[in-house]
Amino acid sequence: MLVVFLVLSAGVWQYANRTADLSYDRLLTGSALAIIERIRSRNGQVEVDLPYAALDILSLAPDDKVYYAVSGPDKSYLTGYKDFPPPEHYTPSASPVFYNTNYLNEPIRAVVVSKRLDDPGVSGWVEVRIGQSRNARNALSNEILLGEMAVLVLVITLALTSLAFGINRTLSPLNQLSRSLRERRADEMGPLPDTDIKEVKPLIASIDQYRTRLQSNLDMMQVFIADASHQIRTALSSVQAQLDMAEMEHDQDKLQNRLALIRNQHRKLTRLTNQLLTHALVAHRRDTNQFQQVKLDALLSAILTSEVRDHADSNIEFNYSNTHRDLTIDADPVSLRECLRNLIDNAIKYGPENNSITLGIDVEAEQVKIFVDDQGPGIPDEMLQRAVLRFERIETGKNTLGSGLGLGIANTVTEAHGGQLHLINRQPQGLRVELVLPRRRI
Amino acid sequence: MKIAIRAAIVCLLSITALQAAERRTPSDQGFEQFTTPNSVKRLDIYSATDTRAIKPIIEAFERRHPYIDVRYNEYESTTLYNALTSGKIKGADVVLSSAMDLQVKLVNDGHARTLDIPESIDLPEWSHWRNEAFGFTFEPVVIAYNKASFENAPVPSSHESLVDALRNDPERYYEKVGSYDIRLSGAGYFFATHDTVVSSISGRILESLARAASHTYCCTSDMLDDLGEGKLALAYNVLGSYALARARKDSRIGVIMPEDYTLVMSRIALVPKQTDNFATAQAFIRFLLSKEGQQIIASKSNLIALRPEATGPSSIAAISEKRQLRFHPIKIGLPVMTFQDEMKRERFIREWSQLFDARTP
Repeated sequence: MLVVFLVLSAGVWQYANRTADLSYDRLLTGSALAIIERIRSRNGQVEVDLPYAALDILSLAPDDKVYYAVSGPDKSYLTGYKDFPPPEHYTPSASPVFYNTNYLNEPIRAVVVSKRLDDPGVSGWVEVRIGQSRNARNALSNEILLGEMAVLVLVITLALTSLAFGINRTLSPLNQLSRSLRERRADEMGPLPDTDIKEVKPLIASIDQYRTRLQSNLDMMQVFIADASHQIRTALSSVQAQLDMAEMEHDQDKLQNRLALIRNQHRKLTRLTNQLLTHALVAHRRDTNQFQQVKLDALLSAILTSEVRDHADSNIEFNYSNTHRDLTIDADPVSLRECLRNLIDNAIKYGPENNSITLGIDVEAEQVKIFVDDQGPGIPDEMLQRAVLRFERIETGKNTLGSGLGLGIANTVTEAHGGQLHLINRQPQGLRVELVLPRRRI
Repeated sequence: MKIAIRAAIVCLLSITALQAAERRTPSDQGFEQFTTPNSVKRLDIYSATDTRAIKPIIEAFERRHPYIDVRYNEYESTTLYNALTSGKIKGADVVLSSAMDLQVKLVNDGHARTLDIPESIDLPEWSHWRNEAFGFTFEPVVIAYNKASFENAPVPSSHESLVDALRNDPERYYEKVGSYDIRLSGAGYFFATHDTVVSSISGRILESLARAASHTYCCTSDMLDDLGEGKLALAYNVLGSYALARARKDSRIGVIMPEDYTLVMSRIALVPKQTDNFATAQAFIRFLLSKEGQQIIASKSNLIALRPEATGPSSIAAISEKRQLRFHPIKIGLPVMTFQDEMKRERFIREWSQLFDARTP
C-alpha cells in the first residue's frame, strides 16, 4: 500500500508540474511572439519596439521576474539582458522552443523563438529569448499537488478502511470457529457448527474429518490399553496362583510340574511385555520419521542369523530367498527389524515343531515385497482381514503364547513405510505374511 | 497493513502541518528590538526625493527610535539607479525613488530583499510588488498653471482640451509652456512614456508642446518657480505633490488634475541586497507604510499619503475633494519596465528629441 501511495504520489507530482508548466508556457509564448512581431528592419538596421503587452502578459504571474534578450542576425545583441542564456543546441525555428536555465541565481523557465528577416541589407534569423522565474508555476503546481494528494490520501484511507472491514468480516467465521473449538470439552464429539461462508466450509469439513480420525485412534488406543492390561493381569494372577499352589506342594514331581507352568506363564508375560514395548517403539519411530537408505540384504541376513542362533536347539528349518543383493530401500531399519523378528517369532510360535520358515524378497517395479513363509495352519479365509488388527488373536484352538501383537506391529510398520500388509494362505499348507513397501519415499 | 495505515496518517499530519505553516501570522510591529540603548544603529537612506519633503517622516522615525541614526542622501533618480547598479554606492539600507520603472528593474534584476510587512498594514493592490517594492505615496501627475495667464480664458481641464487650446490659441502659449526634459529627468521620461500607454493622443500632445516651443526642465520645482513668476503660463506633467504643496503657499499657481485621466505614481521604497542593517531598514519601511507614518505624510509633508484612511492636507481625501477624478494609478510591476528597454528608450528619446530640438526658440 505504501508503494502504491509513493508511485501515485510521484505520478501526481509529475502531472502537477507538467500542468503548471503548460499553463505558464502559453504566457511565455504569447509574450515572445508579441516581441518578435515588433522586430523590423529599417534602413539596413534591425529595430525592436518592445510592446507594452509583452511584459503585461507575463505579469499575469504577478510575482515573477522576467528577463529577455533580442538578438539580430549573426547573434548580434539588440536589446534586453545581454547575457541571458540561450538553450543548448538551438537551431533557429519559427516555432517556440522551451528550456530551463538559471539566471541571476534563480531557476528560470524560458522560451526562444526566431524569425527570418529577408530585407535588403538585412538577412538572417532574429531571435527572442524570454524567461520567467518559477514562483507562479511552483505555486500552481503545489496547489494541484496538494489537491490531488488530498484526494489520493482520502482514496487510500477509504481503501484501507474497507480492506480492514472486509478482512475482519471474512475472518469472523474463523474467529467463531476458533472460539467454538476452544470452548469445546475434550471428549465432546460431533461435527462443528456449520457456516455460511463458502470459503470456510472445506476447512470445517477437514477439521471434522481430522477429529473423527483422531477419535478412532483414541478408541483403538483405549481398546489396546484395556486388552493389554487384561492380558498382563491375567498372566500375573495366573503366575501368582501357580506360585501359591507351588508353595503348598510337597510332592517333588508335582512341584516340578508347577514350576514348568510358572515358567511358561512367565515366558508369555515376557513376550507380551516385549511386544508391547516394541509396538510403542515402532509407533514412536513412525511419528518421528527416522528414515534412511537401508541395505535389505544385510538387514535380513542379520535377522536370520540371530534367529538361527536363538533356535539352534529346535527342529525348525530357516531359509533365505533373495536374488537382489544390492537392493536398498528408504526405510527405518530399527522398525523394520523389529517387525520382521516379530513375524518370524509368530511363525515359530504358530507353526509345527519341524517348521520350515522362509524369509525372502521379491521385487516388482518400484515395490519391494518382503515375505515370511511358514508351515503353520494358516488363517481361515474369513479371518484374514481381522487378523491384521492388534490383539485379534486367531482362534486356532492351539495353546500357544500368541497375543496377536505381532501382526499389529507389522501393520503399524508397513503403514509407516507407506506400504501394505498382506496375509496369504499357502497351498497346501502354511501362511505367507507379505510386506509390500515402496522402494523410495514419495 | 498497519505500516501502510501509519504512513497514511503521517501523510495526513504533514499536510496539516503544511497548511498550518502557511497560516503564519507575522508580528504586527517589529520595533521592539531597537529600544535597547546598547549601540546606535545607523540607517543609510539613498533617495530621489526632496529632502524637505521627506524630513518630517525621518524625524518622526528617529523620535520613535532614538537609537537609530538616519543618514539621508539625496540623488537624482537616474543617477541613483546607475550608482546603485554599478556599485558606486555601498552600504545603502533603504532606497526611495519616484522612478518606478527603475525601482522595478532593481527588483527584477535581483537587487532587492524580500520584506515581511504585517498583514495588518492594508495596502492597495497596485502599490507593491513581490514583497520587495513598496509604494508609499499617492502622487497624481498634474498640470500646473499661472492663474493670471488665464484670467480671460478657460483653463484646459483635460489632455484633449489642452491639445485643442495649444492649437487654437497659439499666442497665449507660445514659449509659455513648460515640461520635463525627458533626457534629464527620470520622472519626466516615465510620465511621457506612460501617457503613450494610457492615451491615444499622447503623440499629439508631444507635437503640440513642441510646436509651442515649450521650455524643458529638469525638475518640477524649477517649473513651479517660473510659473509663479509668470515666465510660464502652464506646466505639463508635473508632480502633483509638489505642485499642490506650492499652490497652498503661492496663490498665483493653480493645479489641474486632468478629467479624462490623471496618472498616479507612487514613490517606491525598497531594501537593497547590499544592506548591513536589514532589520532596521525593514522597520523603517514598516514605519513608512504604517498608519502612523502615513498620517505624518498626510499631515506634515509635501508628499501625499498612499493609504486613503490618512487625514490632512496631503491626503487623497483632501486632493480629490469636490471633484470627480479619474485617477489612473500605475501598477508597480513588470510592465513599467517596458520603457527601460534599451532600444525602446533610445527610440523614444530620439523621436522626442527630433520634435523638441526642431522647435524655434
